[in-house]
Amino acid sequence: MSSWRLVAALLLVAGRSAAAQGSSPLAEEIARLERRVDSMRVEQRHATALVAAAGTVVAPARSVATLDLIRVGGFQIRANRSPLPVTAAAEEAWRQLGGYFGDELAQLPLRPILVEGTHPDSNGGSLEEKADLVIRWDQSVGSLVAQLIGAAGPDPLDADLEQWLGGRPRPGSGTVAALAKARDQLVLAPFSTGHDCVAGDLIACRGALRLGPADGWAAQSFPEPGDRRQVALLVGRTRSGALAAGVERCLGARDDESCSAVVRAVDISALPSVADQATRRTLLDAALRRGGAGAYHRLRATPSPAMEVRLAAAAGVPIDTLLADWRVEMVQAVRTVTPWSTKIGVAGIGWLVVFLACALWSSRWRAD
Amino acid sequence: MFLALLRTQWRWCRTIILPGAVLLAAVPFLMLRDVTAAMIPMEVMAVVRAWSPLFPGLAALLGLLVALATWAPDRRGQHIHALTLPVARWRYILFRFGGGILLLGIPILAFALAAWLAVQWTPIPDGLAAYPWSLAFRFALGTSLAFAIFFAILSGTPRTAAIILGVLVAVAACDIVLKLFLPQTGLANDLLGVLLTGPGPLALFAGRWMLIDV
Amino acid sequence: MARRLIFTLAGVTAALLALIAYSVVVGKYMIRRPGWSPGGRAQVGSRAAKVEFHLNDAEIRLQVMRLRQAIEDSLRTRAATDTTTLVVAVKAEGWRSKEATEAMRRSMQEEWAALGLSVTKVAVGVVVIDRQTARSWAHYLAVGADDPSVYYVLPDSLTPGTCLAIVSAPFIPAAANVIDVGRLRENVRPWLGPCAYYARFGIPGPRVARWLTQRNFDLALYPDWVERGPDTLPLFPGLSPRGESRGWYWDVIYFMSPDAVGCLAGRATACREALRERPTLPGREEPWIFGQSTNSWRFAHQRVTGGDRFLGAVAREVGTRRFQEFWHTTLPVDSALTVALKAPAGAWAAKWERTVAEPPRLGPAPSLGELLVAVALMLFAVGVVARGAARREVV
Repeated sequence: MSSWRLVAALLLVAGRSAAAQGSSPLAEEIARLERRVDSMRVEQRHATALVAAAGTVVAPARSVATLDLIRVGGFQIRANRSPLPVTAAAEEAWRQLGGYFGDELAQLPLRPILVEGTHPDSNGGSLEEKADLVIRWDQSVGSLVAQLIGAAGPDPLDADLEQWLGGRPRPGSGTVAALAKARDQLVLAPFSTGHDCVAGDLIACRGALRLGPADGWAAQSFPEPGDRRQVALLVGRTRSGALAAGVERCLGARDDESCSAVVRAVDISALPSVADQATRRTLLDAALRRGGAGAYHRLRATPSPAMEVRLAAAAGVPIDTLLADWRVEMVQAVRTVTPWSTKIGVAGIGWLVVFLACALWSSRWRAD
Repeated sequence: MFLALLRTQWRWCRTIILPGAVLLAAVPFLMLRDVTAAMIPMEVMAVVRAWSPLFPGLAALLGLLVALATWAPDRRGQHIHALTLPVARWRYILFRFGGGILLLGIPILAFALAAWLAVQWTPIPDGLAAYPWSLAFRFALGTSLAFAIFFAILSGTPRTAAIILGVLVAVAACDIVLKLFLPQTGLANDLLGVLLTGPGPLALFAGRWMLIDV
Repeated sequence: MARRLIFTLAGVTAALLALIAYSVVVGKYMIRRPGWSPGGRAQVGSRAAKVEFHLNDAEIRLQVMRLRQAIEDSLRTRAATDTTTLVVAVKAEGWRSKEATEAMRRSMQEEWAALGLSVTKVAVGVVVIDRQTARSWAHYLAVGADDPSVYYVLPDSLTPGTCLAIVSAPFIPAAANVIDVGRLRENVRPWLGPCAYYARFGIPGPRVARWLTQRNFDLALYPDWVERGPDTLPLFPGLSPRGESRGWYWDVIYFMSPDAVGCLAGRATACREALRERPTLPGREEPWIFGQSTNSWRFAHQRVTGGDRFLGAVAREVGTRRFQEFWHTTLPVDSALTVALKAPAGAWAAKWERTVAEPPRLGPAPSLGELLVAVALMLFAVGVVARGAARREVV
């Protein structure tokens, strides 16, 4: 080698060592970890190849039970062998999904999941992070249905609907109990639109359920001065600065102008809801039931910033008709959940008579 | 006079006092039977908590039974014998009450001694302590209170008992009717809450009946 | 007489059998270890599984080191006019939009300023990651917490002047460019955790460092030396035997350790025990990363209830100068606390616990009120009976 090449090579080596000495400890640690990860990946490939050659299954932690594949409708569930009624629950879940999403279900694929049934006395499963659902096998079919729908249920990717609902759309909110709860929630809400909606004012229902465009929610949901004062009371707790002054005037001096200003100043997302998410779900459920098999498809296919347009399209009737029917269902649901029957009344009176007879059967009252 | 009345009262109540003493003496041993040295505090607490609701029930039951036994013979005889005794009526009542309280001391003492013995033989983990005498005191107070309440109710006429019972039934009926129109209300629940939480009159029964606690 | 005796004996036997049956039921079904335990490493069996496990562990370390490097680079390249040594990086998917990231940064900067911090000796980096990532890390790192939502990497030989906090992104949806800034601010408040203490007071002395490390920094999670409001337990505002949460109150209380319950009940000795340094186990490796979970998971594992705000409360009480002395103390920690507080540490902690939650009443002894009410009721009952008897007539 000629002398200048030797010098260049030496300089190159010297430069590298100088650079190495000048690099930070952190950079060196990163380089060390990168080398470690690379070598571990090579080792992992070898280990996996050995395992494949030996025909064994890699156990991530403790021993893994045999997994069966259960296909029911669109569900693809891998489950271990246990008394958990996965097939029955999947059938019921598929039926519910079909009733809810109608024809649209074919366009909404379900996520394959892994379900592990565990002994009721155990604290966890053996599949650890691999299982999507770890369920004690003494749970009922109904509970399992809800969990299957929650874990594998379709994700329609409808951001506006999800924002209105507070989550993905899923069946289960059309039950009598859910409707009764919705009615209670509206009645007990501290806003006039809640009570008026239950009483039959459909405009109040639109406000309570935020069915209109977002820019009108504040005015529709809180039409009365009392409502706006209540909003100021709720949001005023966590605010500071200019808003605090407005809240002070609204609550102290009961100045409605200040209350309205507070309501306008607060972010839409920070405004309290009159109807909660569970209540809104019951309305969606009612619309889908009314609209039949094509309801969900129409709901998806109707682009509108106002939910009332979409719900009316899904139900196939004007929004006021839908709201009126839904309101009636809610009121009837309460009577079904807390039944008063002639039997109970007669039994109660009967007991009264029995106790009275016991009390009167006393020597003090008898002449002898 | 008091001793004579006490003797008759003992004859009436002994079939409750003696078996009650035996049962109450057994309870602490049965409760702590499963506590071993290998248990962590949380497990010991779980055992004690599982048994603690039994104590107010036993206290109330013992008070009720002794009150029943105290008044049963007088009620059968329509209080004739009692009212013909040469003692002022208020004194008679005091003697009956005092006799009942004294007799209740037997099962309470049995319970206290059993609780103390049971904790001596039980390995209690660090951080927990045994309260046999406090529990016995609470039990004594609860039993005496229950005895006093039932003593008062049972000493009355059947009309009094009917009125009390009628009030209870009326509260239950109102609860049902209110629930029809206002499902969120719970009149019976609220009343129970008023009675059982401090400073309600029966708050003693709803408190902590833990033989072993932090 | 014989018949009465037989009935009595039968009744006693039946009652005894019922009690025995109850004790069997209790023994079989009710004695149960708690459903969770502090996070530990997953166990591995076969060689392939071992390799996979260690590979994941190494990859996580590498990810964390890269985050540290990114923070260091940001600090190095920050403008000379920059008035803070706080760097915020957002890696979580749902918060990647410009508005969301900016809102996050602004909230953190405001929180930094609210704590009176600007340019500090120990810089702090906050990295926001997805909750799923945080959970998957917990599986491989034995950080001593269930479902950790925040990880801390303290200054060490690799980055002696930087503390890193890696936090789970909050649940507030950042969709539609509408972010509830108020709620965001509430969420970011505890993110700085022990890093804020390091920033404000510097690297602690070896005793305090060892003490906090042993406890997983449970007493220094909330930098709260600025007066902001009461320390009342925010997660369980009704934590009282009379509040709306009465139903589960005792369940929750007895999931906690006896020292924590005793301290909450106002026992100074229990508080002292809960604050004490423990001896270091020989051969125990110093952890390189610490994880902590939100109060809902941590609640039953706290050694001092509401302890995440404890050192903040101490700092408020003694002032930052005395707290600084405590922070660098060479005394045993409980003595150092006593010196700083000018009061026994256990007694002060017991008094402070009363501001956190209503103290439970331990033991079965009835309170004076219960005793008086019971006696009054008994006297009333006897009085009513005596009066009734006075009016009774023999007909």
